[in-house]
Amino acid sequence: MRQNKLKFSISRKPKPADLIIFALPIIIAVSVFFAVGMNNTDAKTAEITVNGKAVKTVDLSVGQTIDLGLEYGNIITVRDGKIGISHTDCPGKTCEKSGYISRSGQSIVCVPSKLIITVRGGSDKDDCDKIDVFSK
Amino acid sequence: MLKKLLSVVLSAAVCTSFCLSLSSCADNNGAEKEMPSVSFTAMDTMITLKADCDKSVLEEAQKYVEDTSKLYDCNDKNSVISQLNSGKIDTCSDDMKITLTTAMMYYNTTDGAFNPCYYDLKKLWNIGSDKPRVPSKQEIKKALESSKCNITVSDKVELNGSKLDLGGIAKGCVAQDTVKFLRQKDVKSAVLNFGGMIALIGKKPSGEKWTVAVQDPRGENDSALGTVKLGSGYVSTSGDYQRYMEINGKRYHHIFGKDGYPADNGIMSVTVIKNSGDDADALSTALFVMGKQKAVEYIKNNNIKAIIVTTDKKVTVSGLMKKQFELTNKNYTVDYIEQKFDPTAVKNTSENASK
Repeated sequence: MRQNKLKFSISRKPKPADLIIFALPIIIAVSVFFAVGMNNTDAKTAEITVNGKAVKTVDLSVGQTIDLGLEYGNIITVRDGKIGISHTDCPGKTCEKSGYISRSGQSIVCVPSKLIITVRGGSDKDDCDKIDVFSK
Repeated sequence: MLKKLLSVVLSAAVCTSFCLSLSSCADNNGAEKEMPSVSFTAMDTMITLKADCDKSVLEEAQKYVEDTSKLYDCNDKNSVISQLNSGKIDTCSDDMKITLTTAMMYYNTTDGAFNPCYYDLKKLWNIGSDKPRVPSKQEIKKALESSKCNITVSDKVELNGSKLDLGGIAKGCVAQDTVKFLRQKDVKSAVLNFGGMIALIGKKPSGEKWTVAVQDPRGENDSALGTVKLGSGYVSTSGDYQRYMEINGKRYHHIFGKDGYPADNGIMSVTVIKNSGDDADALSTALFVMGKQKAVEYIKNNNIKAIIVTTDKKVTVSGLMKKQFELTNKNYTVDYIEQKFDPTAVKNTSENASK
């Protein structure tokens, strides 16, 4: 008698309607996931400022070399979606030692040249880490 | 039929919100990323001020930082510090007197591990210059002569043969002053980054605490070894990896020990959390120079919240910070200093230094 009260007992054959009920929420959710995901693929760019003034915005998907004609001869290189200072004549060369960056919000600075490069845009999984700031 | 329809809708809603949270980075992070910010160079580093306010307030704050930091610049002959060093002036503002008194307090209580009189030594080594070289023993001995720190601060400031370089505490002072400036403008939420010296006001707009990452001393730029969660406060890190010169394969960093050479005691970085900027800055320098054993003792005796990272890839964290700290890098192991808050511990802070 008790067995009749169970609606979805194991012995019952799954009907097509049941499969739809199971699959539909997942189909809806996954479509939303991709729809939102597609809208979030803004190309990553880097903003270059010298002495506080925006000088250039660079598309990180395009490999390139940039020479801004700065006093310390900084050469900026974009390769494999990352940007960095590949050459410099500034004392200490800290900016060159900083390596290459690609995550939104990351920056490289050359203090003597008053040059700041900041990555913007895009939203890959890296940007989702919950870190607000780095203490160095 | 209705029941089945409802269950479909409900489960669709649950699945969708789960997937949305995966794809759009969780709204919590969004609000902070939208806060206006300004970035500029000052104090020989990059400064980023980010706050929940009008951008014009941040632009005023930038001007404030640029003006205030000039007071400390011992490479600028018009700065207050340079004029004291050259004897051009023999007194200064009350604020600067407080800074000098705090600096002297740390010099005395850390047995010279923190030394605000390394002007000649730093000039000699000139880490970060065009022509890196290792000075001779005689040159170092001579440079150390003016580092004995016999400074007295009262109506006048008497250097008595010492020469000031406040590099180990200046960022903390400027950070603290900037926080005061912004609070006066009614700013309730801000994250300020003075070249790695972090100052926080309030909590995030979402109400959550800030997550501050500690840089992996041997990792890429912006790779963490762990994170700390906190509200208002200051986080200062002294490390051997940011400012250094390499000669014949050996690294010479910029944090000097009492022998006049870069401190070489197995510590790669020290991070200090405190509710005052000058204390956090001076302490991270002092603990770095002290070496792990003395640093742990100092931490226990003074209720300090600190993180010591050593070359054996160990991360030693104050017991008082256990709930705030999380190790995120598998290359390191963590252990906690047994520490209970001692209300009778002598409070070595800038506040008490000037009393």
